[in-house]
Formats: sequence, C-alpha cells, structure tokens
Amino acid sequence: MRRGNSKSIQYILSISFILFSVFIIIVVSTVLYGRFAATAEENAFRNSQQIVDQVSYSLENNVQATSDLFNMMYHTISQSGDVDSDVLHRQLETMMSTRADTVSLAMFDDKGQLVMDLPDVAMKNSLDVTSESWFQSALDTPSHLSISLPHVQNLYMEQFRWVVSLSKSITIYHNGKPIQGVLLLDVNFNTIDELSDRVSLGEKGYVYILDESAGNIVYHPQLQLIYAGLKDENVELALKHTYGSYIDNTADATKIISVQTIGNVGWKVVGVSYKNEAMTSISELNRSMFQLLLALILIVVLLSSIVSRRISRPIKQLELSMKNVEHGNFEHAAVGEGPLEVKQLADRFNVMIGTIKKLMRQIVSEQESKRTYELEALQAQINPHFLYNTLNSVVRMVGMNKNEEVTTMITSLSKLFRISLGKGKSVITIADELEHARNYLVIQQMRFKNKFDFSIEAEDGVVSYATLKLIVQPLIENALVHGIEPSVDKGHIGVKAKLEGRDIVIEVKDNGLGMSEERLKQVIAGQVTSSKGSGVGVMNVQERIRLFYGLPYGLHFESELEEGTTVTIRFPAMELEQAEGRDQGE
Amino acid sequence: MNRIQRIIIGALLAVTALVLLLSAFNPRFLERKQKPSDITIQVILRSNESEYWQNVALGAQAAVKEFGITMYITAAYEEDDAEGQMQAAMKSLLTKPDAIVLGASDDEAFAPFLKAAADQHIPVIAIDSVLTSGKTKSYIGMDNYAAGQEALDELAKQLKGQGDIAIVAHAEGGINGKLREQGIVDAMVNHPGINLVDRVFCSGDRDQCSEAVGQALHKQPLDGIISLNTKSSLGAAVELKKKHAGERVKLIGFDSSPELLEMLQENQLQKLIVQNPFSMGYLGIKYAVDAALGHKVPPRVEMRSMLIDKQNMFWKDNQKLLFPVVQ
Repeated sequence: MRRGNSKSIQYILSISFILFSVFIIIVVSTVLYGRFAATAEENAFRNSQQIVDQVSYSLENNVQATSDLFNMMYHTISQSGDVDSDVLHRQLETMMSTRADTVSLAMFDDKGQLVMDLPDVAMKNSLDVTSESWFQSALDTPSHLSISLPHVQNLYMEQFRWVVSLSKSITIYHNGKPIQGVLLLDVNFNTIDELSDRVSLGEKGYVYILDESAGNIVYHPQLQLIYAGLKDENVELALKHTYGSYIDNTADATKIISVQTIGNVGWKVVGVSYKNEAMTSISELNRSMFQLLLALILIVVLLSSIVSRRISRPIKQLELSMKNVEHGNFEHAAVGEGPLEVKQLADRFNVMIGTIKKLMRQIVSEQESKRTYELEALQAQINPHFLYNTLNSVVRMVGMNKNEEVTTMITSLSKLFRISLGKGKSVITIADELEHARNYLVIQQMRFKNKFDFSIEAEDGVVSYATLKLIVQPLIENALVHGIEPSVDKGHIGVKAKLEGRDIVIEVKDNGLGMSEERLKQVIAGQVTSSKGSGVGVMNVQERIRLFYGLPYGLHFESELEEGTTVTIRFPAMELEQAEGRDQGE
Repeated sequence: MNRIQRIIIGALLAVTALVLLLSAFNPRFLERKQKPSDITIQVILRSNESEYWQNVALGAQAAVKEFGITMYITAAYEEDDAEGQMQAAMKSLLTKPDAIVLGASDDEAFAPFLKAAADQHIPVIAIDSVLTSGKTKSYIGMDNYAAGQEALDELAKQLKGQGDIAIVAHAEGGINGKLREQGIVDAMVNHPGINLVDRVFCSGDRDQCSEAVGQALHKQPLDGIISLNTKSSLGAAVELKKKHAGERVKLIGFDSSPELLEMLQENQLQKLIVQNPFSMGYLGIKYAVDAALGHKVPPRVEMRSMLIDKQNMFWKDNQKLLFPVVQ
C-alpha cells in the first residue's frame, strides 16, 4: 500500500474482476448483438417482402379477374349482331353485377361518339373522349387491353369518381354495319385503395404502387403530400429492380424497400418500411446490454471490495499484532479470523510467539539459577573461614579453661549454622534472621573480647514477616571489620527491625570510624573490594534484594567520619508463604 | 473512510445496480421520454360537413398515422357557428391536450380561448385562418391577401384590363374573406381599367347568394365577379348559368367542390383559387407535435394556392388535390 508501487489486494481484485467481467460481457453482447442484428434485419426484409408479395398477389388476382370479365364482355359484344339489343344489355348487366367493383361500361365509336352506356347515366355535356388517354391508347394498339392508371373519370354528370379504366378497340355491328369503336370498363379504385391502406409495415411503413413504364405513382397513401412537395418518394430504386428487398440510404432514415412486379398491368408494388423501426428491438437490446454492463461493473466493484476487505482485514489485523510484538508486547495473540490461509498464518504466528516466549523464559530462568549458584557458592565461602577463626578462639578458650564461654560460643555457632543452613530455603522469617545475627554477634563479641556491645530490637509483628536469608550478617560483619575493629573506643552495634507503611526496614548502626563522603560514594557504586572480611560483599546483599523484590528496594547508606555508619535495608512486607511462593515461582 | 460512509456508498452502488438491472430487463422502466402515443392533439375545425374541412381532417389523419400520436377532432355543426365552435373549443381544453390545431371561424370571438390556452401553456397552431386576437404558435394556410390580389389579376387578364366587377363576399366576412377582399381592393391600383362597382353580401346559403348576385346583375351590368368562398362562388355560378351569362360574365371563385368543378367544366366559372387542405391538416398536426415536444415551429407557413381551370383540373397533380376522397 505504502511501499513503492505495491497495490492493495482490494485494488488488484477489483480491477481484475472488472476487467474480466467487462471482457466477458463485451464478448457476449457483441456475439449476441451480431446474431440478433442479422436475424432482425433478415426478418424485416422477409416480412416486408412477404407483405408486398401478398399485396401484389391480391392485386394481380384482382386485375386478372377484371380483365377476364372485360374479355368476356368483349366477346359477348363482338359476337352479338346488334349492340342496341336488350338481350345484350341484360347479359352485360348480369356480367357487371358479378363483380361489385365495376362502375360503368361504355362504348364509343372511333369519332368519340357514345354508342352504348351501362348503367344509363347522363353524360357530361362538354364530353370529349378523344382526348382521353384510354381512348387513344385503345385505338393506337388494337387488340391490346389497355389498363389505365387510377384517374378521376370525367364522363358522367356531377360524378367525379376514381376509377381504373380498361379499354380495347372493338369492331361492332351497329344498325347492321360494322364500325370501329372502343370498349371502356371502369372499375372503381376502392379495392386497391383499401388493400394498400390496410397493409401495415410497422408503425410508419406503407405500400405504394408504381407504374413501371413511366415511373408514375399509381397509388400512394400520401400522394397529396408528394404533389404538394411536402414529401418525397425515391422511386428510382424500385424502378431498377423487378423483385427483392433493398436498403435505401438516400433519405434521412434508412428504409427497406421491397419490390414485386405485377406482370399483367406493368405495375410494381413497393413496400417501404423504416429500418430503425424494424430494428427497435436491436437498439433496445443495445441499451439493455449497456445497462447490464454498468450494473455488473457496479456489482463487481461492490463484491470485490467486500471480498477483498474480508481477505485483507485479517491480514491487516495480523500486521497490527506483529507490530505489537515488534514493540515488545507479547501478550496479545493474533486473531485467527478470515480465510483459511490467513487463519493458518495467524496460527503459525501465534505458535512462533509462544516459542519465543518460552525461549525467553528459559533464558531468564537459566540466568537466575546461574546467579543463585554463584551466590550459594559465595555464601558457602564464608563458612570455612569464619569457622576456622571461631574454632581458633574456642581452642584458645579451652586452653584458658574458660569452659562456660566455650559452651556459649559453640552453642551460638551451632545455632548460627542451623539457621544459615536452614532447609535449603532462601527465605526465612525476620525472627530467624535476627536470631542468626544475634548468634553471630555473640561469637564475634567473644572473639573480640568485649571490644563492643550490641543491641537487637524488633517492633511487634515485624518478626513474623519473611526476609531473604543472610542479609543482616554481612552488614554486621562489615560494621565490625571497617567500623569497630580499627576504632580505639569500645564500639556499639545496633540492629533494629520495623514496619514503615508496607515496607520492612532493618537498620544496622555502628558508632565506628565511619566513612568519608568519597568512600561512601564508592561503596554505593560497588567499587570497593575489601581485602579483609568474609568476602560476602555488601553489594551481594544489594543484588539479591533487588533480584528478589525488584528495583526500588535495597540498601541505603548513611555515614559520617568519627560518627559511625548506618545501613538500612528496605523491602516489601510479605508473609512467609507468599515469599516462598515467589521464591519457587521465579 | 469510516464504516458508515462505506455502508452508504455500498448501498448506493447496490441500488444503482438494481435500477440498471431492472431497466435492462424491462426497457420501459427508465423511459422518461414521452411516447408519441401519449401526445394528444386537439383539432378544432370549423365544420365536419364541407369537403374542404373533410380534406383537412384527412391530412391530419395521415399525419396521425405517420407520427403515431393521438388526435381528437371537434367541429362546429354549422360552419359559421363561431359561438358553437368556441364552446366546443373551450370544452376541449378540459382534457388538457398537448397542443391544439385550430381552424377558427372568427378572430375576435376566440380571444378568450387563446388566452385560456396560453394560461394552460398549450400551444395553438392556427390553420386556414390567421388569428390576431391572441397568441398562436404558428399559422399554416394560404396568404389570403395575396390570393385576393391574384384573383383580381386573373380577372383583369380575363377581361383584358377593362370592365366593371363586383365582389361576392360572405355576410359575416370571416377572417379570410376580409383579407381576400383587402387584397382585391389594394390590387385595383394596378388595373386602372377595372372598376369595382358593387359589393354583394350573402350568408351561408347558396340560394341566397344566387339571389344576391341576381340583384346585383339587375342593378348594373357586370363584366366580372370575384366570389370569396365556396358558397358564394357556387351561388354566383348558378345565377350566371341561369341567366346564360356564364360566358359573358367572367367569374373567379375560391375553393372547390364537385359542383363548382362541374360549373368550371361548363365554363360558368373561369378560375378557381384552390388551397391544399390535406397538406394544411397534415402540417397542422406535424407542427402541433413539434410544439408539444417543445421544438421550434415556424411562426408562419404559407401554403401554395393553385389556380384551377377547365384545362388543368384533370392533370395528374390536381386530380388528387381536387378529388381527395376515393369514392
């Protein structure tokens, strides 16, 4: 995290999750989109073409049926001897009634004069059919059935009907004479209009009919808009092809143009549908895919942060525990939560900490026992030396027949040894310690021939407390050797034990030579080694007390030249069992 | 980042993801955009009887099909019933349409309606007749003033610059009629040989118009007549036919109907100035949709008028204009 370019687990996980899922989604949506788009386009094409085919089929049928009817009438009239005969008229009327969309049947001679008219409706006064296109085309191409574009028929009074005109030149017999004429059948335009109007090519799509030869629009749902210039229909593509579906890119919106040709009239049915409409599902899919992608990215971010947090938090906790250990705090074990690997790591760490703790304890106890051995060895040293001196004194006294004194001395010696040997314990009661000191003093008093006297005092209740063994005797020895012995005057040694708050204070006071300030400092610093004495230094007492009770406790020196020295031992008051427990526990 | 912030951010992410997922599986979920079929356009027409207004309605329907919107049409029962149309219009405001297409029969009478529509922030597209009594988003229709001038120019051409003429106008005048008349009067300056000798007024009825024209012809000889609307044109033509004066007295009319076209073919009428009501209806809806969606709409759309005579009435382009309904 902080070191160099290292990225956090969370970051790495999130990024790789996102990259992976984005990759997958893009691949999937690209494949889907491609497939879907192709199918949708194919469907749109097929659908459009099918509708156009259906319309053309119906239209073709319609035109065919109308042509058939026309031909039937044509033959009937051709074969009839007289066009004015009622029988013929009735026959023709019946034929007309077979189809609902026939409007009128009329026959003109080649000058444009009306010969026959069914049903009998008044013609316009201003009528001049020779200028009409159906009349001209029928005469120009005899024996060919002309089918006109839809137009407003301009034949009858107060009638302006949209019709498709079928016309053909015909030879008829009028009043016995054969004359050349034109037969005209008007069929109303409703069928085509309805057919094309009903068709739906999507929401906005439509069908229009194109006249192949001139490129005129026969039918268009928005013909008025086209004539008014509000709309534009690109007929070129439809004119170029006889059949099929094509894409028209010329306008703003891409269109699908489907073309089918109606053979018998030379018309083309053209279906126009909007590609974007057919492809709405595609753009919707596109949008959905995009939203899905976004949603997945969000979910991945969320999940990866949760997952990576679950992974990295125990690791961070582990790091914290390690930091604690770094600072020397071995007490807090690492928390074994989280994924298996981290748990295992934490467990290993805890085992490691345990081992370190065990090793440390081992080192401490080894050190301690080593020191104890040393001390015991030192302790052991005093005894032969002291014993030699004492026994020397005893021999001398025996020689002088001082039997009583010998008894006292040997009794004291034996008591001294009993306490100092103890039962191998290093902790004894203050009473025992003071008894030990007294025995020592008694022996020394005899040896030094009453060169000093002594006093031992103890406050009530103090004597039952525990103390380290052999801490008073070395101080007394010190006082004798450095204080009393060099002095000319008779000396005094006072030992006092008392309770100060929770501490026990034992005072060893002499009125010997005392020490200069300089020497006192050297003694406190432990720099003085004595050539005389038992060899168990005062500093050993100091060390033992501190080792046993801890740092603030120990010895205190007060001394003045020619006045004497006072050494104070201070240690916490403890019951014997408590102190013994500590002795064994350490 | 503390814990609460983390939880809030996490929850926000989750909610966003959920919304996106819902939207992905249900495409309509986030659709704020108005669907075309949600747009309703109220069309208020002058009449549902006449050919002209039926064509307007046809054009509007073509636009409805193209844009996929919802349209409601109301119309006065009688073409001149400004009061009735106004009431119908006011009532239609209650349905809160997104836009209104209005072919008003009177300018002043619709002032309160335009105000009410403006108060409701409903855009109004005026068709056929321009409205000055209130705010409209756009006007779609013929330049009636220019059409009046054209009518006089045409009549002057027919009369070879010399003659006495009369105007047959609607009694109540109407918005368009007044503009057309103004155009004619102002164009008189260009034709010094033409004298406007009479103004004939007749209201809605064809026979009444015939009678009025007859009286005018009786009062003084006339060389030409300009009639300003369908009914007066037809009345004048019928009267001229009756008096066998169709060839002699030149007649220029406005608008078309099958009867008028019949008269044109019989030469009782020389020219008709014809509008394109289908396109008018179509454009009315088109711009109403634009206005409803808040797009910019041109304030004035002038429709081209056609000068129809006997020769060109069956031209391919004009057939659909003059005979819009397949029957």
